[in-house]
Amino acid sequence: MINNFLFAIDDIFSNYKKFIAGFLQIMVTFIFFAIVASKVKSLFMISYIEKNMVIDNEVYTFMNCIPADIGTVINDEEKRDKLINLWKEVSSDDMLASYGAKIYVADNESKITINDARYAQSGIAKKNSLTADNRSLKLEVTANFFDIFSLKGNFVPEYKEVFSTGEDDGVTPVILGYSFAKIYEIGDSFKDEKDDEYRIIGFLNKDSYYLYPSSLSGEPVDLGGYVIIPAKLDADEATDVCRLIDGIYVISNTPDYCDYVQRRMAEEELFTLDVRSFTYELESGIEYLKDGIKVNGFLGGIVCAFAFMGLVGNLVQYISDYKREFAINMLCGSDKAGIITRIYVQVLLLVIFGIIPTVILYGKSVELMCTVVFAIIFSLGIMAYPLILIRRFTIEEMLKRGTE
Amino acid sequence: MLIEMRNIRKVYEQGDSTCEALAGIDLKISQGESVAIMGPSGSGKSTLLNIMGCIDRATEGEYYFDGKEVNDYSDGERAKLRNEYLGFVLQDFALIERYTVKENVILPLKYSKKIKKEAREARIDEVLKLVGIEEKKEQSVLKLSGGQRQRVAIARALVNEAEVLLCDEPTGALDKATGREIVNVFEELNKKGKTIVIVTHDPDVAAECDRVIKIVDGRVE
Repeated sequence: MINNFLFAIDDIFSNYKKFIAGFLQIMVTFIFFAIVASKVKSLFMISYIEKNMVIDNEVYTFMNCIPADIGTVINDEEKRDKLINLWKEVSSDDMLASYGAKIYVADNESKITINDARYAQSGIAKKNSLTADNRSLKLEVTANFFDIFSLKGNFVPEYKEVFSTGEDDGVTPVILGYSFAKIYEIGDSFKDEKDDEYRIIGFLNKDSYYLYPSSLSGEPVDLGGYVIIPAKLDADEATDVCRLIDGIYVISNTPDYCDYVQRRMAEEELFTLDVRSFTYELESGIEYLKDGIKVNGFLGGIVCAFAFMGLVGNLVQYISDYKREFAINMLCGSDKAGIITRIYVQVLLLVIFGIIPTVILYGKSVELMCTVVFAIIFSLGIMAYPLILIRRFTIEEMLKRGTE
Repeated sequence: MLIEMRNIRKVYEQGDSTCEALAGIDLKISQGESVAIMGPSGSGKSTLLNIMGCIDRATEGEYYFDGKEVNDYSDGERAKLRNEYLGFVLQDFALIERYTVKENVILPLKYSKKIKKEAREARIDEVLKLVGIEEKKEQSVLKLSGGQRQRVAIARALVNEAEVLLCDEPTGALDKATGREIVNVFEELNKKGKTIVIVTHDPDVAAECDRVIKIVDGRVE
């Protein structure tokens, strides 16, 4: 086995140009496959959200505010006051109570560093944040966020009340994604980089996803690695109000509440808001993902076909070039299995090198696992014809043909 | 008896037609014997050598090597037999041209545990000295003459202490004088107890062997 490995390495060095070409082909194939796998995964997640979300009421969201508008409003004292007053009016309006509830999801890019050795050693942050730093993604929400997405988990019985109340003696209640359950227990406390203290009041189950308001790209968020804390908002702060509008879900039978906010915003010459139903967002997300799967699948399929044909062609050429050498090795004591191993080691190395960029891009993930399975099937597929070819030859034939 | 063949037949099938290369060969070769196999082209002598060398399988018949029936051996067992007991010297030398002399000679040792790693270098030096090309050890085989290449092939055949040297027209690609030198090497090896089987057209080469087996139309004449 070691001999065949060394022979394979020697062959790679002798044909390094072909190896590099093969590596590039296989690398692009695997990246495309991982992209498609990622889209399919998102499609499953979004379908899961669709199945599990509150179905009695429609959910409406405000579309993202245009950043330029936000600046105009916040920098204009009169408009800022108008915005704060309007928000106070609509947030305490009886209309909301009759139509449903609202939840707020804060900036989904914010992060938190847990100042704790268990956390640092666990690698959870690196695994879930897709960044090199040691921080986890943080989500600020109101308590009914968990109802909207039917998020289940292991919580303290009064978690909703605790979550609604927010801080207790300066300690913030926190619900963590399932990956944290490996290192923490309910009731544990930890501090962040600012020395703020948090107490764990629950863990989410594994399949816990949500879709950020106004996300038409259909990229649901897996909450497995998230730190979820109660939203802290100051309704007297214009920036908080802007964030509130930007990240709000309204559960209602009708979009009236949203229409009202939208109309009032226009009357006060503040923002031009659009209102969208969540069903529409989900459907457009699904369409977006399906399109992505089609386009990437088509391109990936073409790349895969070219890579497959190119690599099989290269292997057949390699066997043709080296068959005399194989025959000589067989005269000296190798069997066909050894020769096949020598060829397969090269294919395997090509696949291993080819999958490295996917590993870097996707880390330890479902996408990577799918790509690894695909890579194994792909490598076996590449080997199929050369295997038949080599099995058909006798030593005598290989020696003769090589001298022709 | 080192080699014993009983009623060996070899039939090649090409589409609907068949071609009988060996039509029932019986032969025995003792340890330390030198045997020449002669016959016209297409008579089946190389096919016989290939079966003897476990390169090819007989369609029918029994082949005993050192008392063991080897025709039904698996690929792996046949490879082990080739590695440990048989050495091949072919007309076109069958050397890997991108390798040096040493890299060619070491090949059988890479598939064997017979000679320990630390003793390999000394063994290579020993066989190269035996065939008279010890100074060419690090040279590419491409830079060697035909006679020197054939010596490399002989060294490779001997390096793993093969019992039998199977030679297919070993002087066929060499001039008369060089061919003579190679035959002398075989004579020396035979004197040291190696069994040598040579397929040849050359009566002078055959004359140096203990026995000559003539094959005509796939049968021993």
